[in-house]
Amino acid sequence: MGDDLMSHPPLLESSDSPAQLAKWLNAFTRNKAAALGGLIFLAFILAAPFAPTLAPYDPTEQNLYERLKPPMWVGESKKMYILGSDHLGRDQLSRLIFGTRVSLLVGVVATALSGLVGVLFGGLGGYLGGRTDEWIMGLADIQLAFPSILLALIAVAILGAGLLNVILVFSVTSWVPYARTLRASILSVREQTYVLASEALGSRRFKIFSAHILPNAVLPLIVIASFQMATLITQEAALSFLGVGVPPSVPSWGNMMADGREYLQSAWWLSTLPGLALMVVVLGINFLGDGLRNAIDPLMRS
Amino acid sequence: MSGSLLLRRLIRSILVLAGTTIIIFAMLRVIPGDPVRLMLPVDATAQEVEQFREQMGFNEPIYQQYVTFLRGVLVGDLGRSMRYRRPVLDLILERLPATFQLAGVAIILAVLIAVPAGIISAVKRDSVYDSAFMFLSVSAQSVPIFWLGILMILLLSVRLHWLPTSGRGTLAQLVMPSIVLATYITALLARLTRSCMLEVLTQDYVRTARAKGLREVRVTCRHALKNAVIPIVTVLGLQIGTLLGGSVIIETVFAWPGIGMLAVGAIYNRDYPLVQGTVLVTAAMFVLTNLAVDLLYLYLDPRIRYR
Repeated sequence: MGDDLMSHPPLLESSDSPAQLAKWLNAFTRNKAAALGGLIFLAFILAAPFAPTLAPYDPTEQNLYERLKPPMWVGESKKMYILGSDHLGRDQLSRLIFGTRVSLLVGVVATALSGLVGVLFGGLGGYLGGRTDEWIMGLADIQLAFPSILLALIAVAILGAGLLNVILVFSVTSWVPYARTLRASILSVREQTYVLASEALGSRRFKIFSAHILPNAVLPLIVIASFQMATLITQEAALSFLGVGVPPSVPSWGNMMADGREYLQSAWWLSTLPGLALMVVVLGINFLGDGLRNAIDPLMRS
Repeated sequence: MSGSLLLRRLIRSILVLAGTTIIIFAMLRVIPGDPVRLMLPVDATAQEVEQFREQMGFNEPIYQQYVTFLRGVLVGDLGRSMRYRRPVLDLILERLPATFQLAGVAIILAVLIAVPAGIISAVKRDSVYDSAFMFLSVSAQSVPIFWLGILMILLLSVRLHWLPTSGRGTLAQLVMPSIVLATYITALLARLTRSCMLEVLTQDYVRTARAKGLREVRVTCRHALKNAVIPIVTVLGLQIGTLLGGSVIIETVFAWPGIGMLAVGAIYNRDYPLVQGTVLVTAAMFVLTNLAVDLLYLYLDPRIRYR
C-alpha cells in the first residue's frame, strides 16, 4: 500500500530519516541529566559481564583475619580493601561489582517479560475492545489493588526464594502500565485515516497492528520500561533486603545491605555503600527516562 | 446523571474486591505440592497433617472452599492465625491504628512540603530554585526507602543519639518512619503540583484575574491552585497503594508494629490465614480509598457531574 495514503505517518518510520533522528538525538543530549543518566546506565550494564575482570578479588573469598576492615580512605587498613571488607572478610568492592549482575538481570529480563505481557494484554484489549477489553482492564484494576511489593513477597514466599522466581513474579505483576498505555494509544489511532485506509485495502488485523499501531506506541512504551526497570531493580533489592529475594550466598545489593544492618555500629560502610550504588543506578535510569520522555514529547507535537 | 455514574463506580469497586478475594483464595491453592505440608512444621505426623487438612476444609471441593471463605469474609471472619491462635481480624484491627498513624502523618507531611514547593517552582520556572527542585525531586523518587531508613538510623540514632532506632509509643519514634514514608509521595506530589500549576497559570481565567489587577499571590493561590487541586487529590488517592506497600518495608526497618510488619511476619512464619487476611484488608483499603477519591472528584469538579 502506498505511503501517500497516510495522512499522519507513524513516528518511528518518520524518524528513520537522518534529519529526524538527528533532531531527536539533539533534543536528547541537550538534557545534561539524561546524558549523565545514560553514562551511569552504560557503566552499569558493562560492569555486569566484565565483573570478573573489574573486581580486584573473588567476591565469595572469605578471610576471617581481615573482617570488617574500613574503606581505604577512612583508616589505617593496608590498602587491601578499597571499599572495606564485610563480616566474613570478603572484599566489598568486588561484591558490589558482582552485585550488578543480579540487578541487571532482574532489571532487563523482568522488564522485558512484563513489557511483553503488557503489550499482549493491552494490544488485545485495545484492538478487540468489547468484553475482552473489559476483562483485561478489570484484571488490571484487581492487580493494582495489591501493593506490588506485598504481592511479590507472598509469591516468593510460596514459590521459594531465588532469582528465577523473583523475575517470574515481577513479570506477572508489572504489566499494567504497558497495557494501559498501549491500549490508550490504540484507541487514539484506530480511527486515523491511515489505519482505516489500511483496513479498507484489506490488510490483515495483525499486519495493521504490527505495521501501524505498535510503532506509534513504541516510544512511550520504552519510556515506561525505563521507569519500570528502575522500580524493579529497587524492588529486587528490597525483597533480598527482607530476606526473600535471591539466596544469601549470591552477592546482591539487597543481600549486602541486609548483612550490613547487623554492623551499623561498627561498620557503617557495609549497608550504606550498596544502597548508594543502587541509588546511583536507579537515579541514572530515571534521568535517562526523563530525558527520553522530554525528547519524545516535542517531536510528537510537531 | 451522577447517580448512574456513582452506581457504575460502586459496582466496579465491588467487582474488583470480588476479584481480589478470588486471587487471594487461589494463591494458597496453587502452591506446587501440598499446601498443608508447607504450613505445618516439617516433622508433622501423617495424622496431624490429615487432621489439619480436615480442619482447614481442604478436603472439600474447591468451589465449596471458596464459598466458605467468601461467606467468612462477608461476616468479618478471616479465620484464625496459626501462630497467634487468635482470630485474624482481631490481630489486624489491633495493628491498623499504627499503620494509619504512620500513613496519615506521612500524607500531611507530603502535602505541607510538596504543594508550596511545587507552586514556587512553577511560578519561578527555569530559575535556579526550579532546577534544584527538579533534581531533588527526581532524587527523592529514586532513593530506595529502606536505604534512606538505614541512613537515618545510622546518622540520627547510632551517631547522634537524637532519636530511638525503632518501636512505637513516643513522638520521637514517629519521626524517622514518617519522614521516610513521606519521601516518595512528597517528590511525586511536588512535581505534579508544579506541572499542574504551569498548565493552569496559562489559562484565560488566570489572565483575567491578573488583568483585574489582583495581586499575584491571590491569583496564584485562589484562581490557579483551586483548579490544580483536582489532579493532586486524584494522585494522592492512587498513591495509597504505594503508601501501604512502602509501609510494609518501613515498618519492618523501624519495627513499627503496623499491618505491614504483621504481614511480613506472617509470611516468614508461613501463617497463611494471617497472610490472606492482611493482604485482603490492604487491598480493600486501596479499593475503598479509590472509590472515595472518585466521590471527592465528583464533588470537586462539577463538570463531571453533568457529563
